[in-house]
Order: sequence, then C-alpha cells, then structure tokens
Amino acid sequence: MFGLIWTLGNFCATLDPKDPSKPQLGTPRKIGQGCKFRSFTTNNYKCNFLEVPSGIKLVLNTHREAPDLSDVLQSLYDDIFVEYVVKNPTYNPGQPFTSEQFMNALNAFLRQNGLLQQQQIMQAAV
Amino acid sequence: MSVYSLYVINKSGGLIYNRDFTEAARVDTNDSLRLASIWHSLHAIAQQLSPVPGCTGIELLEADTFNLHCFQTLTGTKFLLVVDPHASFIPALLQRIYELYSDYVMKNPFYETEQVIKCELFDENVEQLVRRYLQQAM
Repeated sequence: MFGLIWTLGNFCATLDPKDPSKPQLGTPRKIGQGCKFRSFTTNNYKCNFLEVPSGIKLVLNTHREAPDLSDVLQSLYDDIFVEYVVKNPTYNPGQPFTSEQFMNALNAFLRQNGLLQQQQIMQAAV
Repeated sequence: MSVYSLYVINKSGGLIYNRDFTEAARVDTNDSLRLASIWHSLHAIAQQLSPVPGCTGIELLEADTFNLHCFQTLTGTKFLLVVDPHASFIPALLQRIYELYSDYVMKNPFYETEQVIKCELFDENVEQLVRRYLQQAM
C-alpha cells in the first residue's frame, strides 16, 4: 500500500496541468511539494488519503459514493491522532502504536459522522 | 472546465496514443511513456488492495488541480482523460472516445493491434469531439 500511495503522489505531481515548474518523473519529491493526490475511486471502494507535514499518511477506505473526505481526515488528524497519540509520552514517532483511547475516540468520531454505519453495512453484505 | 489530455494504454501497459489539448498539460515524451506504464501497474495494485472482492481497478483519481478518469474496455485497453476538477459528464465523453476508437482505429485494416495509433481520422474526430464538449460546457 505504501508503494501505491507514494507512486500516486509522484504521479500527480508530474501530471499537474497548472504548475509551470512541475518536477520530472523520478526526481525526489519533498513532503507537500507539487499537486497533492486526494483520493481514488474504483468500482467498489474509494481510498481517501491525507499526508501531513510531518510525513504521517492517513488512508481511509470507504464506500464508493462517499463525498470529499479531506476535511474529515484533517479533523481526524487534528482532534484524534494529535490528541491521543502524539501527546502520549510513551509514543515513539514512526513506530506502530496501540492506544485504547485512540481507538475509542476514533470509533466515536466515525460513528458521529455516520461513516462507521456504512462500513458495518458493507461488512454485513460481503 | 477544460479537458487537459488524453492517453490510451494497450493491454500490456504501453502508451499507444497521447494527445494534449492545452500547452500547460504537456509532459515530456519519455515521461508520458513512463506515466502510462506506472498507471497500468497502479491500476492492478489498487485492484489487489481492494477490501471487498470484485474490484476492476481505478476509475477516478482526484487531486488538487485535476481529475483523472480511466475507462477500461473488456479487452484491457485503458483510456485516461485528465480534466478540470469541475468537469461533468466525463464517463459519457470517454464512452464516445471509445466509440471513435472502435470506428477509426480498430476498423482500419492497416492498424496493428497494440501498436501506436497513427490514424488521422481518429485524431480529427477526437479533436472535434473535445471541442464540441468544451463548447457545450461553457
């Protein structure tokens, strides 16, 4: 998945039709440079993506009909990840983490947005 | 509300047609070949990565300044259209381009399948179709 996301990021930056100084394919790209890729849709799922300035990438797979979720991802990062993970003194940046508070806050947030219900319906149908 | 470029990729991932409709969208020839092959692989990876079975690959890629629509035919040929994020009715436009392809490219007796498309009639008709679409969109 990381390879896919990383390549899509480079792909979008090179293909950008509005940037006069766009990078050539293959040149190393800094975080946040060039056109950013937001989401891709296939016939049965939609993958939403956000890269924050620290390099952390958030990937959210949803139903195909989901609207633009970049605000949702941004608030997910601001209100939940930063609160419960970054501010946790035992968290090592870049390492996998397990945090019950993070999971609970995440579930509550998604349920509030009505997103978790859709996911449950999808899982029941599969 | 504009169409930036059209790419046609054969079933092995090679670029067989590339048309830029605006100057700003121009990508280096080598880069466009690489982009086509990369897209072919990304399409396949996204299919594998699907959380539910039955995925047929990426149909739409959204970025900040453009959207990329992909139409895959039953034979594995992919039509990519890079457009403005506010463009509408692009799946219908892609369907029309596919019809033009089957008329002017596939029915051309001198055209070898999976090779680069060099058919004047196809070029002219694609140009006309896109121009008409842009006029209607205004």
